[in-house]
Amino acid sequence: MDYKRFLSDFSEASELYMIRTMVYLSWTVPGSIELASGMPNPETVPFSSATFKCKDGTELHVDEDTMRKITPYQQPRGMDDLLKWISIIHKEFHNPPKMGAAKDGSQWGASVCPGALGGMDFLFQAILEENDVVLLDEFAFGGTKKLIRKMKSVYLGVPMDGEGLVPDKLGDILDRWEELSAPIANGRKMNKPKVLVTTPVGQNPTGVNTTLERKQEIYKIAQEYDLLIVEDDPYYYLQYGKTYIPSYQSLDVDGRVIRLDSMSKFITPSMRIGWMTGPEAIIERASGFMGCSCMSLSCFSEIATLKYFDSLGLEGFRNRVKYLSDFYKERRDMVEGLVKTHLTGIVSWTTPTAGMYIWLNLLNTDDSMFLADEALCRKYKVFVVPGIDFACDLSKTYSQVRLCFARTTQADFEKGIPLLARFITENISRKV
Amino acid sequence: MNFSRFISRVSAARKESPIRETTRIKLQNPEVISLAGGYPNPAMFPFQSAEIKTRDGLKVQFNEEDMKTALQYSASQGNRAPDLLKWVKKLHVKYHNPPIMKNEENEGFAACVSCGSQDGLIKVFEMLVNPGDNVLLDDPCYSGTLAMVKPMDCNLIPVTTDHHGLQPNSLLSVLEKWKPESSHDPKSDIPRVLYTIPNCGNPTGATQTLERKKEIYAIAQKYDLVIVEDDPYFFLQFNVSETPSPSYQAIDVDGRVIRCDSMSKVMSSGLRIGWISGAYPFIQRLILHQQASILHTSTFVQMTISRLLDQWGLEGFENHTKNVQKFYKERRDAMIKYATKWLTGLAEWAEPEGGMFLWIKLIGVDDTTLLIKKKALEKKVLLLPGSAFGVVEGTSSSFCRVSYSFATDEEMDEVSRLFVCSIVVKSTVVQV
Repeated sequence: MDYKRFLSDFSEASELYMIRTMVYLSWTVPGSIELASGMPNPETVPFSSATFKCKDGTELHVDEDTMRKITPYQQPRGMDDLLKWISIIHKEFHNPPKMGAAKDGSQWGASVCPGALGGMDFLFQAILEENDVVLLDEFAFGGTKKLIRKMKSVYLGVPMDGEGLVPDKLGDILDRWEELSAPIANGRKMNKPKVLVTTPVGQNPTGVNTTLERKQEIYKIAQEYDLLIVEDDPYYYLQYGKTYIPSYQSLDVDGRVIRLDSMSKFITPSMRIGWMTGPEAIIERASGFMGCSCMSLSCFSEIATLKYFDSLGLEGFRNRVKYLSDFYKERRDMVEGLVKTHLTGIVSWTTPTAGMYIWLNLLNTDDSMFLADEALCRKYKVFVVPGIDFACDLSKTYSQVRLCFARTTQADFEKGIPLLARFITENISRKV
Repeated sequence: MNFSRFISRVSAARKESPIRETTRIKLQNPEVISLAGGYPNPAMFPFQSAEIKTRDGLKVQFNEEDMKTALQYSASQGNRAPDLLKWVKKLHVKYHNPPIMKNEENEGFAACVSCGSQDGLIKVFEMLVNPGDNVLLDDPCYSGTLAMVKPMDCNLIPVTTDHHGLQPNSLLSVLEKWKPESSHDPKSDIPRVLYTIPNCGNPTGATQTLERKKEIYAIAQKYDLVIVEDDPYFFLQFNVSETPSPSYQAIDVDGRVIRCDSMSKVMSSGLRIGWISGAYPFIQRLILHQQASILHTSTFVQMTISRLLDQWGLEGFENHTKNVQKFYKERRDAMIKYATKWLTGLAEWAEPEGGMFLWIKLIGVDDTTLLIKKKALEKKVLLLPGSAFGVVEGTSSSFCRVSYSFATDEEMDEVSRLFVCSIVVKSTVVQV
């Protein structure tokens, strides 16, 4: 793999600066006295110890020694013990072909990041340039689109069906990319696509899973056209089936997959914990940008996560995964039941088999925007998100809406779904 | 103030995320049933409660309800319940009493919490700087900042400093190239941004006097510059019995100062907590950027700080900062003692009035880079050469930066002795 082709000029210009290189240098000189880094003294830190209590009664303790160690500046990659856990988890769930491979830049590496979205920000700074054309799921999370735009790049949506991204369509876009990107290029000379970004499990917003067969076909296309695949996979542990669909990372013999993992649905979203893994040549650059920005994750977030993993062990981790998938499956059953009862004939949908979203297609209209009309929302008192919010191509209208079933109570769903039915039927022919 | 003239093209293109918009409407209308935002279910969060002990015997406690709030996604600008932003406002009233607090909300004082001030600072630059722009900076300048701005494809223009920081004459002579009226010409390349660490500067330890700040502010008004006030050592000023030197924010009648605050030297650098404050038109842009990046600083960490402040009150916070000042003042005194013992005649320095750095000039040495990187390291002594801080890359410097925050008295004594050996050895070689 030639990674230079993928690393942006921007990332070439951002080198490690001397404070960091000197400190790293000092680690190689045993017995050295380091007065180079502006490291605040732990004596001035007001916190002495901490305890986190878990719902199952486990207590996670941060004693005074540990507090002294974690409260100064931490390394951007993450605490060593947390990185060890990330390796264990990835070996267990993905067994990446490039783990332990020869150190030529393609070997598997890891770095923590502040949520998968935060990681995506640093990753895009490393691999995207002005005028890049990025390939993206045709309906995608708004944060991803924003980050692509921030890099002054554009995105082309790749069509999906019930089994995920459609390989033929991907190939077609790659063959005709100049023609297809012309309407959004605004006269600029665009760069040939090098990156595919996709959420292959419990896709946000469609709820679709890309099957293993599809992943294998798409990986072949990525090899043929020498693409990087950014596997943004925050719902990976929310698969309802007994066996997991293998990830792109598990197929990655070349070192062309960068995976973004998130603890937001696994532990908690607020601590901003995630990690990125993949070819070290890319991970190193992306982590470098993090080093210039938030520098590291919050030490409390890292230590809580680390101690939580320690308390679970791998067995406990597997149990938690099962617990989560059962939990979200139950909610899917509850919501799908209500949708069947109140929205049959009004919408069509595919049963989601992972994640927390159900993607409803309004029958009898090609435009669901009226469901975002503020006055109507206040009148019917139920909110959903119209599909256009996720669409890559804003020149069309869309008949879909996304519902999230993670948090809303059953009682509220029992009130909300019939309200939604009324909202739709009473306004469906309304032009916005 | 014409705020829009300062906003970069990338920043100006940023729009509010519709999902964040619905969050706001939902917060205002609790009876609305939202199936919109992708919030995970709090029942899933494994942590039930937490307790953090402080050195002075206090406990910051999170019960089950607190934990639910602490572990959920929160607003990009900062957590609202309990309210860290409320504390930020109180601190700014006490320490800066910003004139813009009297303005109407749309041009008044606002703040956005960030993962350390560095995370905020890089976003401030991204908000203000277009490729090709001229950016004015302290020279010498914190190398972390240089690492941030170098890839942004702008021209870095050094402004000379002395032991009282930025020199107004130097700023004027740099700006001589342009007419002040050019600030009204959108085609002009007149600089729009001045970056400075005004208190206990990094690397020089210099603190700007109020007179200097007023002169600089007047120049900024004349040429319509934004002043980016990076002030992580504000609370490390050693005039323990007097008030700290007023900030640029305290004299900012126009709303042209964007201030970066950090808790890294006052609380914990590992926690990653800081905030950016200034006029709302600027801060609003930063909030949008956070929405497309890390989303928000760890809610748990924000609540930890705000709850600690709830117990301390402003008085307790002030007491803590005075203890921190006393601590670093004592370390400074020790460093000066050993520097005087070993380096008199070989080096000279100005006594820093705060912070953690001693900026030493080696007499008769044009450039300390090789000395530090090779000779000193051979003696197992790690300092930083002044060349690491030059705005113009490759500029030689007779200076080196010594951090006195961490080392024990014995280490300071030993380092100073070993450093002398390495200097003397070099001199001998030169004579031969």
